[in-house]
This record gives sequence, C-alpha cells and structure tokens, in this order.
Amino acid sequence: MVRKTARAPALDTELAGLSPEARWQEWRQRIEAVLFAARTPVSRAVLASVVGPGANLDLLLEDLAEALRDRPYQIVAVAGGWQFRTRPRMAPAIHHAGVAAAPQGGLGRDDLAVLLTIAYLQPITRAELGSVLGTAISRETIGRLRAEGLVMPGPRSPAPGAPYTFITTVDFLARWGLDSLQELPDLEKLRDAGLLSRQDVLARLGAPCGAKAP
Amino acid sequence: MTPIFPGWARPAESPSEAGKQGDELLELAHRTGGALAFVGLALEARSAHSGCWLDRLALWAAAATVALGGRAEGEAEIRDAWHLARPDQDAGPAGRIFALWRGIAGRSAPLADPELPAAVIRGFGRRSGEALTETVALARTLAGGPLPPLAAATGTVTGGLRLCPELPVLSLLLADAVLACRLGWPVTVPLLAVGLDRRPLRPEAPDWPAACLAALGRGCAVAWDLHTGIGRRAGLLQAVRGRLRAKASGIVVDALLASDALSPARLPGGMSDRAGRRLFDRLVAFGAVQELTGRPAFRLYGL
Repeated sequence: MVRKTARAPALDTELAGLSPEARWQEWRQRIEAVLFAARTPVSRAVLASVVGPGANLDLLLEDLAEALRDRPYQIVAVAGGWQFRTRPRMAPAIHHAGVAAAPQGGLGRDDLAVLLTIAYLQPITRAELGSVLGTAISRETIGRLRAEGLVMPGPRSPAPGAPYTFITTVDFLARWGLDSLQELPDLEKLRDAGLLSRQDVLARLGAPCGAKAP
Repeated sequence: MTPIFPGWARPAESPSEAGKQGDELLELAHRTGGALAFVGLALEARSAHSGCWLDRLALWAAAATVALGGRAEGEAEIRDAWHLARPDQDAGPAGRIFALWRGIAGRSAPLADPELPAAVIRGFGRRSGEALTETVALARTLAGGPLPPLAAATGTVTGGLRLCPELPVLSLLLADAVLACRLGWPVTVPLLAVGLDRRPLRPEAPDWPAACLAALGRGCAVAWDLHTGIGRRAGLLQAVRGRLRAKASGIVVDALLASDALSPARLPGGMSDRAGRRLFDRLVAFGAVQELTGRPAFRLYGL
C-alpha cells in the first residue's frame, strides 16, 4: 500500500493524459484507496478533492459499490461522509475471531447506559441522569463519554446553578451506524409509555426538574 | 380598522355535510384560500410586532415538527434550550430544528440561500444527506415553477416525504417557503406545520390533498389569531413606551416587538440583569408583557 505522509499539493486530478475509461478507473481507485486508508469517515469534499472537478462523485461511488458487490466489505454513508465497513452478515465470524473492538471502545456497561439515556432524553443534566438511572453519575463517566467524542455540552438547564446539559454528537450517530436520532430503536414505544419526555420521567420519579411553577 | 377573520374561513369542527357528499376538497380549498388572504393582510399591515409574531410561529412550528420526529420536547423546552444556549453552542436536537424554522420564518426568499442545504444537514444533526439536498432542490424547482401556490406547496410536502420520509419536518419547512414564494409574500410564514393535527402524515392516503389543505387552513387561522393577540399587547407596550425611564428601555421594547421571548440576563442595549428584571416587572404590571416560563428563576418574557 502506498502511503503519502505529507499532503501533496500537486495531485493531478484532471488526468488529461489518460483515456476517459482509464481516467474513470483511476478516480474510482483513488476514492477506494482514500476510504481504505482513512480511520474516520471521509467527507464528500475530501473525496471530491482527489478526483477531477468534472467527475460525478455519486456515479463514482455507485460504481465502486457495484465493484465491491461480492466482497465481504462495502462502502457506506455514515455521519460525516463515507467509510469502509464489513458487511453485517460477517459479524458472527468477526466476533468469533475477536479481532475487532466492539463499537463502544473503552466504555463499560454503565457508561453505555448513561450514553443511551442522554441519547433518548437529551438535553439532560448530570443530576437528572442520576435521577433517571437511580445512581449518581460521576463527572468521570461524563468525561469518558466526552473524551470518546460521543457527547458534548448543550444549553444550560434552567435549574438552580444553571448546570450544563449534555447532548450527543454526530460522531455518536456514526459509531452506532445511525443516520439520525430518529433511528434510535423503539422511539415510538417509549413515547407512548411516557418514557421519552425528560420532564415526565423525572416527575414520575419524584425528582426535581428545573424549578417548575406550582 | 382591524379586519375580522371571517367565520367561514375558519376550519370546520367536524367534516361538513358537503364533505360527506364528496365536495370536501372544494370546500376546503375555498376556506383555505380565504384564510390565506387574511394572513396576507396581516403581512401587508407590516405591524411593529410582526417580528415577534413570526418568531413565535416558528417556535410553534418547531414544537409541532419535533413531536412529529418522535422527540418529546415541547414548546417551553425548546424555548428554554434556545435561550439558555450560548450563541456558539449547539442547542440540542429540538433547538436545532427551531433554528431552522427561525432561518425560514420572516426571511424573504430563504430558498435562494446557497447555504440552505448545508444548514439543513447541520440542523438535523445528520450524516451527509443526499436526500436532504435533493429535497431542497425539489423545493427550489417548485418555487420557481409554473404551478399555482397551493399545488406547489402540497407538491413540496408530497415530494419531500417521498425523498426523505424519515424527516417530515424538512418537507413542511420547505413547503411554507415555497408557498410564500409562489404567493409573492415578502417573507415566509410558518403555516402548514402550525396547523398540523397529531395524526401522522400519510401522502399515500386518498384524503392526503384534503389533509394538506385542512392543515394549511388551520395554520392560517392560528397565525391570524396570534397576530391579533400579540397586536393587543404590542399596542399596550407602545402606549407605555414613553413612561419607561430606564436607560435603553426603548431598545428593549423594540427587541420585545421583534422576538418571541427575551431573557433579562441577555438584554440588548447593555441593560443589566437587575434593571431588566425591574423593567419586565413593570411591563407585566401594565399587562403588555407576560412571563412565559412560570418559573421563579431563569425567567423569559415576551408579548
């Protein structure tokens, strides 16, 4: 694999010397190589920068997807752009081999519970998280989630002390393979059960939520 | 003289007899047309409080579409998120949708903005989004096309829901922009989303065109009533303007007329938190302004 360490400013994207077919082939291979080499999703703008301005990126990506049809991996659109992923049906084999890290990285079970509570009830403060989960949530837990780039501070809460709320990031969506928060599982069921409204949940638990009027 | 919104243009409580006989669409179109003319009048009046009016309609539209998207934040929570986030800060999923509605409401030709697709993708906190960009392109085509206003607006919703079925808010947002554009209104007014009832949107249902018209008609009635309601308090506010002695109170009064709500902690004209609270207490006593949160702290005031 050829690796470029410095970003070469003079990449020939036009490829005027090649025949149209060869040029197309080269562009497609460049996209494939860039996606293969990248650790994180690659945005359209970056992909577009390695092919000529006249290239139709959508067609190139389609063509590439077609070429990978029989492979156990594919390119998928995730948050922030495109990425190589193994096909879902390969999951059992990969898990069995134990070579890949689970998507949660270094997070424990409790961290994940906090993360999902934030995802469903955001924006939510640390104190409110503690009430919902029935145990105090430490700053360290939030810190780990922030360090992983999964949550970030949102607007302040109108509660005494104006604590920050936490919200999920776009990276969270990417890591969980979600296109948007609306794809969180069982949203409707939770809403019908009254478990999706932070205020309802907290009221039911008898916890103070902000300072509501009598 | 203030025109009175005619009873015949108000949405019917129950499906009319005519509806049962199959003329429902005609009946609805007639009603909605009348209602739209009145919203046009409200716009035409260029009242001092139109900024507040449009901002609050944007908030209501955001609340309606956030609910449609499966989240549970209500109007008050969206308003809190908006006012308690710093300008450079992400206001959360519902706050981002409010930001999108604000970006459309009261703006002239929001569809022409080249940044619109990017703002939309950011606003929904999503990955790239080819479908989103396509939906914006569809709305632009319909806004510039030959279709009559109602057909262009409903076409935007129907087409948008086909391209982006998981984001009904996008189609509704664009439809209001298309409608204003085709009607030749100076600015966009959120109407369709404001008039939604709680039923899910089903473009494949046989009564879909009727449902769109009915929502639009309801939205118009709601918008007109809001315009009148805010107008009354705006009149009071203007009347007491001269009796306010605090420095910069004129600037705060103008800001009240231009936005849904103000926080005493962040007032224009350099007014301090304390002075702001005193001013708002006085305005509440005059009946010109109301406190919107019902909380003892972190209060928000608006017309």
